[in-house]
Amino acid sequence: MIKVEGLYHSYSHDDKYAVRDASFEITRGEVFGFLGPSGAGKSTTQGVLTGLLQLQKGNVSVAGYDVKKPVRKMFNKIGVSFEQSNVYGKLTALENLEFYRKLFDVPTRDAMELLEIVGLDHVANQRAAEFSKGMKHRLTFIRSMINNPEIWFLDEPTTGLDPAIASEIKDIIKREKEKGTTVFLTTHNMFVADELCDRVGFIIDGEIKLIDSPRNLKLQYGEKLVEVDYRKNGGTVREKLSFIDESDRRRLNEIVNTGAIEMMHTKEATLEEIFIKVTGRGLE
Amino acid sequence: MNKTLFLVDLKANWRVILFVSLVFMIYVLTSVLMYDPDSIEKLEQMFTLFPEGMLKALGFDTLGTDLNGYVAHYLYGFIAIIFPLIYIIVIANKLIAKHVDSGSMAYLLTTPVTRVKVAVTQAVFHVSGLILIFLIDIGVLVLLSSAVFPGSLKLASFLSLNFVTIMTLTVAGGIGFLFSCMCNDSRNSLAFGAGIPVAFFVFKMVSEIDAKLEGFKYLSVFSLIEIDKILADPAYGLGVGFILLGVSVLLYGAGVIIFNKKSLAI
Repeated sequence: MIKVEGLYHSYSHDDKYAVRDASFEITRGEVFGFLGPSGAGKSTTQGVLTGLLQLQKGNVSVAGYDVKKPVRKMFNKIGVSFEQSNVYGKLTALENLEFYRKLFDVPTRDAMELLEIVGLDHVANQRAAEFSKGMKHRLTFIRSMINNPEIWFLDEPTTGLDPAIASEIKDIIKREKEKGTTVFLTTHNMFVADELCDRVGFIIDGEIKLIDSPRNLKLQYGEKLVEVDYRKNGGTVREKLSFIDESDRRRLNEIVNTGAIEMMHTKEATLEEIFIKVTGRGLE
Repeated sequence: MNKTLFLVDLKANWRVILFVSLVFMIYVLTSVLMYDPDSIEKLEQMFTLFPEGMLKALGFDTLGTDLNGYVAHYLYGFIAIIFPLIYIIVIANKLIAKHVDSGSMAYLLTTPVTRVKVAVTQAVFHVSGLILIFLIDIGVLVLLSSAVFPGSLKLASFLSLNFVTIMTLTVAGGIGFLFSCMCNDSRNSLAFGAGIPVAFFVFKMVSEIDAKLEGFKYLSVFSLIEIDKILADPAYGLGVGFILLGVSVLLYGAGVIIFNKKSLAI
């Protein structure tokens, strides 16, 4: 659905590249997470893919369309939700969606149905200027779904939202993925990426350092340890045991057989730890 | 042009159009209702009490000898420029630069509506709003004067004067629109897009204060509203108006082309 080969982009049109030699491919129905700190080149890449920034160097195709020669039909197949939510304050929530609905040349989703999905149906006829930040974000988010996009570009979809709304947004993304929507997710939130993405790409200083599934990365970079808390002599004891070492495995069996385990965790690395290992920098 | 976007523009900006039209209308009503052919001389005598430079700058140096001259000097030296100019400046910035600045343009451009269509729609709205303001106020003026002073208003010369005035404002609007398309933030768009048209207005006023400052008129498009010359020869006004129309088309066209080519700040 998305194919990027040797993408370069420079805002100053010189050799100071915001994105340098980026190449990746995203297949239909995949959720691809673009992970990196602020200024890493995530939004620039998304800007080129969505036609907001001109393609300077490289080959990019989105939904089968060459971004070098943008065809407006491409925009019927994509939905975009940026980090910065944006609504027409003088229009009601319903009018905001109706306005965008009319801009597309394909069958669109019912505006009220979308408002119901994010719990805004009760304020459908209220002016968007009166909405809270979270409500505006939800409205912007569902607006990007109005044309039933085949490819959905989501830039920091949960940043700055309270946990309940963030969870709601993540559930919607999961449901759309199940329907076969391809998702290009840019974020610096490793928990969101870990929860939603089939594969993630680490980008820093405009360069993609690594692309793989969160599971493979954890297996490759995680410690092969298990941490066990168990009751003993009226207190709690914690032990770290390797599941590679034969004696540690036997010890773990012994503890399991006592039936006194209170908690047990594998010690796989988080995406953030892996990011730091790979790039030498944090995600914030 | 995109009808949906045009209607949203209208919904977002109708208050500004209405406000400017109503304020302008107060002066339109006053000018017609105050007109008294027998008292023009007395009124001009009264004006001699005011500083000459100030009267010239405001266009009140002469009130003409008939309804056309009276209304033209009362309105088209100052009032008919300043209020529509406010509309032109505020809306030019709102139509493109403010959308880019706030991020809403990015959302608009990720729909199948082309950049050219977006920019042309905004340009058409900009000019339409200006024309609407004049249509409302000229309409009121024509109706009122034909009711109160039937047959006194010579339409050909009056409409020619309005055509030139609208076209000078369209040139100023084109400059505002061009900078709105060029700049990615409202601040720069306003600095140049409002600064240049306001400078035109100031230069016109300064050029009329004193003969020594007359040279400033060459720095202002509004100096082309030569009231007496246009009223005396409506065809001259049409000629000037069409040249200004050409300049306006170039300015708005340049704005559309620049907007179509530029990378948006994201």
